[in-house]
Amino acid sequence: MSLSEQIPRNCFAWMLLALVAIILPHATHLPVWELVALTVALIWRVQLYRGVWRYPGLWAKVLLAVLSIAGLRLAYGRFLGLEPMVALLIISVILKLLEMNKRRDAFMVIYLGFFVTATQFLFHQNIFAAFYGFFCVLLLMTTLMALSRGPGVDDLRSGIPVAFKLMMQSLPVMLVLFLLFPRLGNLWAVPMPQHTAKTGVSDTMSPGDFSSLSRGGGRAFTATFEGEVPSARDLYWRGMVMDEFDGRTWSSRKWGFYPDGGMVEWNKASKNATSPTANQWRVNAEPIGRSVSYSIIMDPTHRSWLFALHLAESTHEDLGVSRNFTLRSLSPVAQRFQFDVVSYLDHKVESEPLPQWRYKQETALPDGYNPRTRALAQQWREEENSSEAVVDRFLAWVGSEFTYTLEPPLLGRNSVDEFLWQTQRGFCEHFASSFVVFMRAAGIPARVVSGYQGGELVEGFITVSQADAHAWAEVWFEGRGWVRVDPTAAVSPLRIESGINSVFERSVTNPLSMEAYRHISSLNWMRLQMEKLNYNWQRWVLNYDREQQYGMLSRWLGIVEAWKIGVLMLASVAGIVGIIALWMWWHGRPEPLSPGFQAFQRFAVKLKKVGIVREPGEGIRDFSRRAQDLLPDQAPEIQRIERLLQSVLYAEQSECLGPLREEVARFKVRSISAPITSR
Amino acid sequence: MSLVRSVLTKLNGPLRWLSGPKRYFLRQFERMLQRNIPTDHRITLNRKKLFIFPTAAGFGYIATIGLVWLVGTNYENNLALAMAYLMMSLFVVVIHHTHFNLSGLSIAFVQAKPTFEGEDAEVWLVAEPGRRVRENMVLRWPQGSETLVSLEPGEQARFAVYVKAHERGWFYPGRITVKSVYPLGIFRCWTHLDLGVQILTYPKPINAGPIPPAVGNNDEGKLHSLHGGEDFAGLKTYQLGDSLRHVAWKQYARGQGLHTKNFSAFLDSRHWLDWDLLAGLDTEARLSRLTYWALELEKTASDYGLRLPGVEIIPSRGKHHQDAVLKALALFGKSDEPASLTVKGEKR
Repeated sequence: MSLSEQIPRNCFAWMLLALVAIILPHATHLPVWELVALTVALIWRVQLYRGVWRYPGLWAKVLLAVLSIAGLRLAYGRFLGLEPMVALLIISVILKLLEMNKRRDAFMVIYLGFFVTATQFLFHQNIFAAFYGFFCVLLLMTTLMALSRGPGVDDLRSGIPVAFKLMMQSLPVMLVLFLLFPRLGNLWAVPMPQHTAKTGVSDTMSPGDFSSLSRGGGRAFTATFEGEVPSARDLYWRGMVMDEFDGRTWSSRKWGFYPDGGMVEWNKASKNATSPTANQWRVNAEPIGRSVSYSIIMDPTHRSWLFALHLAESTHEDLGVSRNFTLRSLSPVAQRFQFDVVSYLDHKVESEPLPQWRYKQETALPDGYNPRTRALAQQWREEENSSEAVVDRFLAWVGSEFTYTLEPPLLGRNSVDEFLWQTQRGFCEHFASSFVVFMRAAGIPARVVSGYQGGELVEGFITVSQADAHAWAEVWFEGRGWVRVDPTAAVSPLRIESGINSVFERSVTNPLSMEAYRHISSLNWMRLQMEKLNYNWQRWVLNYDREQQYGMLSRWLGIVEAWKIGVLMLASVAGIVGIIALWMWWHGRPEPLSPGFQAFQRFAVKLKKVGIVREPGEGIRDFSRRAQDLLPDQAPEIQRIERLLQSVLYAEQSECLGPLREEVARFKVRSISAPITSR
Repeated sequence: MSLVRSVLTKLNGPLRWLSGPKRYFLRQFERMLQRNIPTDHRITLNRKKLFIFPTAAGFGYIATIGLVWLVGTNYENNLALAMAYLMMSLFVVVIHHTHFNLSGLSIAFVQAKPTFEGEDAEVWLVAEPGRRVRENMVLRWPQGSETLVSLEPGEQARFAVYVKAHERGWFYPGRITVKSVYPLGIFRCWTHLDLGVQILTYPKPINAGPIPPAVGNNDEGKLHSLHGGEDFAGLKTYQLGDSLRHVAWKQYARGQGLHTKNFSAFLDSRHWLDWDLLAGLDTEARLSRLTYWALELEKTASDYGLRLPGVEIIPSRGKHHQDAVLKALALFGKSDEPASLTVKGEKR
């Protein structure tokens, strides 16, 4: 193996470091054996370098490859999908590391490393992930540099400042490309991350669910309003409507055939449909007045329901509206997701009398549960003359005798009976559930709604935390349709007016969540700064897409045309690169010639004009002799100049510089006796 | 471009019919080089004299950018896209770093030690880095080995680059290639310089058997008879170490200075390396054998002379004498002086 084929020692060190750095962010979703494999490979590599161990043989390599495939199959149960594919990529880098032995292999490992670094952004996209990614690229560039510098450079650290400088110089052009390079949108369908851990409000509700969700903390989404932010008591972010109860758990109806259309109406389908096949139930919603526009940026929940203020409309093509007028996403939200919504805060939904089958659905209760509640409900129904009166009576009862708490006692089989007459202490889901069961028992259509309530106003946007998770009820009144009723508000009005933290100072108990430290003012300030940073990061960086690009370009260029973008992009890149080149030239610009030599050059130029050209390597003396021969008339002049030159250049007599300059300035080729044809 | 050259040299064999066009392209390329980088003993590299092109690893890098960009585009992931753009941007910026690693550098020819045909000649060069650090430059003659040079700013460096001299006489090693892939190895910047290097190349010494006996000429043998020993042959200036027995005291007494009497026996160890001794062999074979003898005789500290058609060097010994003999052997039938820079330039 020739010297130039060897991988320098420096390069090995950097490569091992870079590989650890780029695989680390994937550790959470890689099978454990792959991390073990990485460790073994690193040790093997070091031992190989020290000459203690040997390269794996052909059979060993085959065995390792087979074992890896089997291991992936065992760990994921499938090969398609993002996580198994990334795991496959990483194990191939690790195996390649083991057999790496020539420069070509090293280049291969480094380039695969860049690819692995890019995939980490599919799982993490916050501002720290960006910095970490930059760091990984820096390490890989340093490795690349160590590889091309070859042997002889022993200082391990010497590469990193140069690589850093290169990357910093590249940032302006990167910015231009980021802003102007055409965005094509996804070219083909790709597998999305499929975490097993789904977050946020679920589509079922059992007692105790919300209090534990609330304690965990963590951001659910942010909302940016155009214009004024509605008051806190109106911020009911509707997620799921649950209208089926099995005695303990509320859940939403997932399928069924209905006379008035399907479960969800998708925006995409209705756009492409040739005939207007809009679902009949769409007419049930009737906006009245007040509307607010806002956009929501959601963190991935891996669930398909979205959160918005009632009555929400969105034209985003991946969205649809369910028959309960909640927003749905076509596929589970696996990546940060932004959508614009218009909500009509005043509205009427299903204000026409309910058909029989609807009435049955919305008053259904399982038999054999909560007998005491049912009896009392029947009694009140007979005593009161309207649905509203029953609702008010229930709220008054709850408001006067019940307690709102984050630590509700556990409930048994007849959960509503136990809650209403024994414990009387509960979180939002207890109130919502018992309220709806009570209303249904009284023959009043009612349902549970889950989502979030409130949110924290941070500089023009609202950030909603898991701590704001909430459940409330909707009751159907004749002539008014579905009306929101929040029994929790009757127990703890403060919760609705100013958020959960005004009721429970330390609602979040998760020590890993910054929200757990709201009571420490410095930490709370830090948390808010981070919220702001993350919000701006999401809004301006992560969400910069084709539409935003188009908007920005049309503001700059007027009418957006391909050639204009091309010219703008090329001009800015050329400008920036030109500045860098100029700066580099300036740093390496040639030393100025000595004054004596400058005079000589002027002299040589004058002679060159008449064809007397100084030959490469020709000394001053020879050149002058030749000139004297060719211009015999001016020989004394030329001789004087030669002598002055000699004294300035070689004897360093600076007093001769003045006369030399004068002579050279005065010198002029007068006449050429014969045309000079040959040099 | 070395790329063109290497492709063209591979065209031998089945594609021999292309050798016409190949020669044509090579000639055109040489002319282009001579126009842009004329021969000089000292050349300062600049934009006009440098070539730059991505290496194979550079194309790999481009492919990687493509993959990262696809990830970013398909997932509509701005961070992956930003990374692809960062890598693209780096690709553009690195062009300048690679270029400026060589641009502004001056390389000058200092001297080339004479060598024997078929051996590696040492060509000494001087590089002046100017204000910039110069990293990992590789210098190489067309048939030589690589020399790796790195320079700190302002630090003049002298180094040797080796080339196999495969032709007797004033050997012209061709244009030296100076290249660098610094900093990332994804771009190669290079140039081909004609520094006007001429290497005096002696014939390859070939063992020609025993050294020809001293005194090949019969007349001279009589004059300086071996057995005589005591025949007076003349005077020479006394040198330290001469035997006092042979000092010419008579002349000393006359005030003519200290002289040693030279006797014919001292002249008898003269060897003639004669072209005619090797009749029947071709020119190169004769020169090689004469070279071998010259080297052997110098080792045995005997006087030797050289007789070639048209050349005669009277017997003597020592470094200078040996150099003169070897030079005469090297240049036999060739032009005496290295071609002048400009003339050579025009010929090519």
